[in-house]
Amino acid sequence: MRIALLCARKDLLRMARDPVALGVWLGMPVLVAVALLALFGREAPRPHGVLFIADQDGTSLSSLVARAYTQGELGQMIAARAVSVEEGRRRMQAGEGSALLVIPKGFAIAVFGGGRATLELVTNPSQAILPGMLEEITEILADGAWYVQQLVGEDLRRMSELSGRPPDTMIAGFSLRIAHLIDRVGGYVDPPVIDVVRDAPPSEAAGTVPVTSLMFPSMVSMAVLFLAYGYAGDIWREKLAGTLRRTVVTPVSMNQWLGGKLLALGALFGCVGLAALAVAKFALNAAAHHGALVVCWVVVAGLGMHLLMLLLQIAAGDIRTAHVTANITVMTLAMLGGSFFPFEMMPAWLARIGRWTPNGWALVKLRGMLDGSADATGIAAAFGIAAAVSGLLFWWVSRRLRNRFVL
Amino acid sequence: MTQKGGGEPRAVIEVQNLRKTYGPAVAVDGATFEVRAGEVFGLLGPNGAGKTTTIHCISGLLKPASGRVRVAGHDVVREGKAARASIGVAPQELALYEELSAAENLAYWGGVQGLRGTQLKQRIEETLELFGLQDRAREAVKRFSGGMKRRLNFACAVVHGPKVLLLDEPTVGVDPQSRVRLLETVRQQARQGVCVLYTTHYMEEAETLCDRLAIMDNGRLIAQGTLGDLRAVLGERELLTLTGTWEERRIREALDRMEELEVLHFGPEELTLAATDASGRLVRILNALGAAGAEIRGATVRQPSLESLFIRLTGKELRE
Repeated sequence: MRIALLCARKDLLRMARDPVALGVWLGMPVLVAVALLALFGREAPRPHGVLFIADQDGTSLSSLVARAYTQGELGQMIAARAVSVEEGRRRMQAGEGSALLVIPKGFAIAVFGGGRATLELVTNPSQAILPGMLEEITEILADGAWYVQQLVGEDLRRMSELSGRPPDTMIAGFSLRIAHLIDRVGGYVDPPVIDVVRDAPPSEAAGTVPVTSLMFPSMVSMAVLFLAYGYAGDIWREKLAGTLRRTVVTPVSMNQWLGGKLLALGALFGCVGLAALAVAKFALNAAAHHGALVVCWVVVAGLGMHLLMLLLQIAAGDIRTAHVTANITVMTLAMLGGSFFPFEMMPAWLARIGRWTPNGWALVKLRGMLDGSADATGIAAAFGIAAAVSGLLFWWVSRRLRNRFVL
Repeated sequence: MTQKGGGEPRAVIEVQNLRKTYGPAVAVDGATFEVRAGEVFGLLGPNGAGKTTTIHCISGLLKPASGRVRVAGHDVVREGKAARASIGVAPQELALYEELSAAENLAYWGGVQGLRGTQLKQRIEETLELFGLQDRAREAVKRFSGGMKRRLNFACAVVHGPKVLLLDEPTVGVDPQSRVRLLETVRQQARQGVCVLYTTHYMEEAETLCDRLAIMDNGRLIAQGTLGDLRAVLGERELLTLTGTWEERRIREALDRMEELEVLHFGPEELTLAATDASGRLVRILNALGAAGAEIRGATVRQPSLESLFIRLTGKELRE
């Protein structure tokens, strides 16, 4: 352990003497985050989805109902597609849409006649946000229809029984009754007797919540990924400077030497974890659960990533190949694994793949720990898996360093 | 200096039938030699002769294909850690952490060799002074001159006071002042009982520094002994190198008629001869060759030396 600590001290001193490299690896995530915030704003990215509408009724009322789902800001998130019931069900099975709305034949007659009207809404269980919003809208429509029936149902029923345009006298009478109705309920609605209280966080917090929940863990993940990658390249500096070869002819074992490197980098990752917690708490005013676990996770996941990057570096025959391979890998991992863009900003299929990349998996666990949604069993399993994989990688890297790379 | 039963110093490096191959290529072919405590043993040879590979096998960096290497009584393959604890290596290329200072480099390399605490601090101070680096001890190595880096490279090899010092061409690219200092330090280490194995292709350096020498070519040791032993192989003969054009058959006939003259190398435009009193007989030799139809463009006479011995043994220049 003394030797490993000695090697760690040496590497920490070297890191401290090269603040530019450290600044680049840590500054890059901040730059990317700033760029993304400038691009998308501080609000959470809008989800996008498709609503299939099977309108079997084909009346003005059914058209109005269908349009209600794509009005205002909702229209920027939901694209409505007219389909038959069969096609809608098939495409929902294929996971192509957020929901399928079936407006049955006789819907308008049922609404105007005071009877029972049924709207069928089939939602996609693999999506969380949009289907929920569509359910809410459907419930509002159902409530609205009930109130309309109660207030002006008789007039509507009479008008619907007519064939063709209602006579002017009927329309005038309907207008007068609406005016009297407004006079009667005006005392309640103007000013409103019932105050509607919006249960939403204050405006400052509204901006920080998405940053904390989406961008912030990604920034931490990116910093860890870049540090793991950047310091893996140091193995080539040690080789080309002859210090690795010189180490091999001392009594120090490759395990001790590599262990020292990991201790030094672990300390750095620990600082990153602590800084991340501090930023979350004091700069973003966000709740960060499991503080100690978060720091430990940043260290463990970071060292695992570093060992993976080391393996890539030493598997290459020369420094140029090593850098190209590592560059391609780290950029791909950063893109897919949620380090550049949060999973919520990716297409669902890409996010599904990204969550299984090493950094994507680590990021999912980190978010779980930060927002407090991870349970003890899940956390223990995550640490166990990370430690096992890192142990295997350590053995592999150490062996290859001694037998192949150093010569 | 440790003595074997009060007689000759014991062998600290023992190399027996060392062989190292890279696929079909043989880098070291059956080398056998010993180096004793307090001795500077020179390993001479041109680039690619196998000197560095031999050093790497002794230091434990490379595993021999066959043969045995023992350092301070420990087999370098089976007891590698114990063997390496006795060794200090100054590699041919610089092997330093350039971001760290000289003192930090010494602290690291001394530390990994087992020094700690006050002993380490004391050794760092002594070594800095020995190599004249105490004034720049806290400065980053990347700001050092080439000569200073060379000195520090050497200092890192001796900071822990090893029993065996492996020096692989330590004076390559070193300015004359630093070279003199380095060579003096090597002698000083040997006087303190350190066993020094020194590789070089500078003959004059080997002649002035080494107690015993081995000449290596194409992976094989072709001669070894003291400088006197090796000179005796060549005798008092001088080396005469001629350049020009000639007809081989007629020249060989002319040379056969001369006494105390040996052809070492016969090329189409270069001829190397070992001859007693070659300088005194030069005119006669040139006349004889001229009579045999040779057109001589140049002639060089060399006194017996390691260089001429190398040519005598291999038929080629050391720096080829």
